[in-house]
Amino acid sequence: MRYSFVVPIHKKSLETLKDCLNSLVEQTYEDIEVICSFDGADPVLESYVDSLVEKDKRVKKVVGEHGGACKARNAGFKAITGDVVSFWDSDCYAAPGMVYVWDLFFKEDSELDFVYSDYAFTNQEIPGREAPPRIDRWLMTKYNDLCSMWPIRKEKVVKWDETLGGMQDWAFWREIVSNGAKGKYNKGFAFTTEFPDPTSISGQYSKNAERVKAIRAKFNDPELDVLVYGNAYSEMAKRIAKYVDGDFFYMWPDLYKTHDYKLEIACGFHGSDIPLLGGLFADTPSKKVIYWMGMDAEEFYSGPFNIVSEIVPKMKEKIHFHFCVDKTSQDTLKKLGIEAEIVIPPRDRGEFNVPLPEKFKVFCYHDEGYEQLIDSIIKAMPDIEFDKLKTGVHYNLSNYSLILQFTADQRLQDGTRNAIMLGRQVISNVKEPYAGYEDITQEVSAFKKSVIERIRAFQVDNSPNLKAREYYAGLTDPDGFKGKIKLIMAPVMEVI
Amino acid sequence: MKKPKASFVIPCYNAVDTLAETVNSCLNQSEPRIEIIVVDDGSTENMNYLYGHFCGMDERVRIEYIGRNVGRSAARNWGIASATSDVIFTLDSDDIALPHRVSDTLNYMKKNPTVDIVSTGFQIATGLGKIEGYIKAEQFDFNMVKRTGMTHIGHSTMAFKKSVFDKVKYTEGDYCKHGIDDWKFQVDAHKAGFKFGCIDKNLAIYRFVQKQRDEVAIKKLKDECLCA
Repeated sequence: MRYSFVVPIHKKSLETLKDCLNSLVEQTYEDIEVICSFDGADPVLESYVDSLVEKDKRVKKVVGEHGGACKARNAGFKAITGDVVSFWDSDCYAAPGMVYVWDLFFKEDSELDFVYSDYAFTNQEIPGREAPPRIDRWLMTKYNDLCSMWPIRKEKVVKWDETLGGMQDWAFWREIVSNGAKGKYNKGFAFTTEFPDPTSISGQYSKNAERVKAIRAKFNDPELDVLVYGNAYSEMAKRIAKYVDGDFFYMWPDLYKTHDYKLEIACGFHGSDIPLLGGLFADTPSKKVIYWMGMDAEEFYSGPFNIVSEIVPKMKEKIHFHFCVDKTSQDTLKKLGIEAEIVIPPRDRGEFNVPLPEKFKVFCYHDEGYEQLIDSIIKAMPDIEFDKLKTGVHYNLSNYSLILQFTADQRLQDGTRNAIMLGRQVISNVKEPYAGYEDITQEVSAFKKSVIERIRAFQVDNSPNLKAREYYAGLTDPDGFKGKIKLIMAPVMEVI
Repeated sequence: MKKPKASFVIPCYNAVDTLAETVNSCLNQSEPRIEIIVVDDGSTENMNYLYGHFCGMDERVRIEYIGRNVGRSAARNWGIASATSDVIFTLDSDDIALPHRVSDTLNYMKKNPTVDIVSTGFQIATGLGKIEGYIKAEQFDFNMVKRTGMTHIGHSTMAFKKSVFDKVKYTEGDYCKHGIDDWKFQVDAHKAGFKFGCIDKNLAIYRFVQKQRDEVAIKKLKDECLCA
């Protein structure tokens, strides 16, 4: 399989271009070609490319009239002979095994159309860009997580839109994905790149809003009423945005907003977001909701006093609703004088119709302080398979019949709640409905015997916890959540 | 199958929370030619998961079912009677035999052929297995027993020749009820003329569980035995 790189070249330093092209011709995978597509003549850079072409048959030169990177890409694409094409920027430096890894992906799945990864900046103080694990049509209409560099089978390539002033890669990938192209995530940094300089297209942030407008106009996107955003809980924010038919962004979209939303929902609230809170406390007619997730409330409560005391009054004035996910958060917020409603994050019931595993298996999730206690139970039941949570390892909870959760912080972990919704049994020290409460402070032998007895009972029964599943299905019903949002928005609709 | 060199006799009543570790410690002995006899004393809890697991896993383990609750002493006697080797190793269903208990004890008995009953040093642990102390082995001294009422023998460290059992059995009834049937066995064995020895090594772990003891009744029973 041949991989073709199309590199649009316009006004780059010779050093940068050399490093970029070297990183391509030095790939460990040999069947590649590099089409240097000049966006207007450039004697210095051209002469360098000519010398490369002489040495390496895989390098080719195409020169066109100046008309923008998209024109150069389209022109370069016409010259390729490969099966998979990558539109490579002239200031990006590929990892030596990058194409080798791409080839593994394409070889393994003949129906795969594109591969995408993370990338880093040459300035290591700037954090790299991590891509999300899944990209679908809907997400591509909200935000672009794909850069132009990712390899795509040549049959799926669409024309680069030469009329767009910026964000052409968004338009490119959005069209490709909406045509049904299938992509896979390869975790890891595939290349490093220079941070966009302010004079370049991507560096001109002030133009972002108008560029987003242009993209939305191109695809006839309607103006939606609701915005959901959240960086720390982006997967949940995306899910909620889908349920309420809203827009999604990772961070407060100062630079991307094309219109005023009627309702803005911030998924999660983090102290590190505070400097960027301009939008959250801005004077707009939109209703605002903060959805406190995980330990946000406690972390905020224990933040520096001067910051907390400055922000809380603003919250009381500007934020119309506060949601949180459990009683502990609600109590913490009450201490700050903030009334929050407990709303369990909405989930689609269909996600949880997974049958119990055939073999009885138990998953243990516990704090360090309870390690000995849980280990002694595991040792007492050598005929049963136990798995313990290990950092860095992903577990699929639907593979287990029973979850043991013993934590100092007596609240249901997201994973445990998901397991309950999957109909799995739970034994924990959490006093919430269907959490299978067991007093961990009782005498050791009594605790062990009680837990062992309950585990044996579940082992014999091996049936799903239907009542629990129904209870949580009711709480997490997306339609219920949608209804709640409509109620919140109703007054604003009247005003506008 | 060749005749085992040693027999563990473990009386078990509802030990769902500790039996697995105990039996595993026997399976981990450096001396492999042993039999492990778990005597089920009419457990009301479902022990079958554990019994099935161990028997299915290792043919050296077998379960003797008494069928009803007869008490620890009777259970021990039952188990010892069914043992096929010449040396009996006692072990409670919540204690641990350290890996060299059998081999070190058998070596000692070979070097000291006149000794009939052997005890060893042992560690004391909490319910969760945290080691809290070490008790040295002490030579059985009947005068000391008469003076203090203590034999200083950890029951779960004891091993004896099967021939001892021909003359001495565990006493059922009150001695068993108050948990001093092992003490009585040791005193009875001395009276019957059997010789004691000890190994100054840590070969077992005794799980200490706080229990209410009727000290008055116990003293009375011990006095009765010592004066007879």
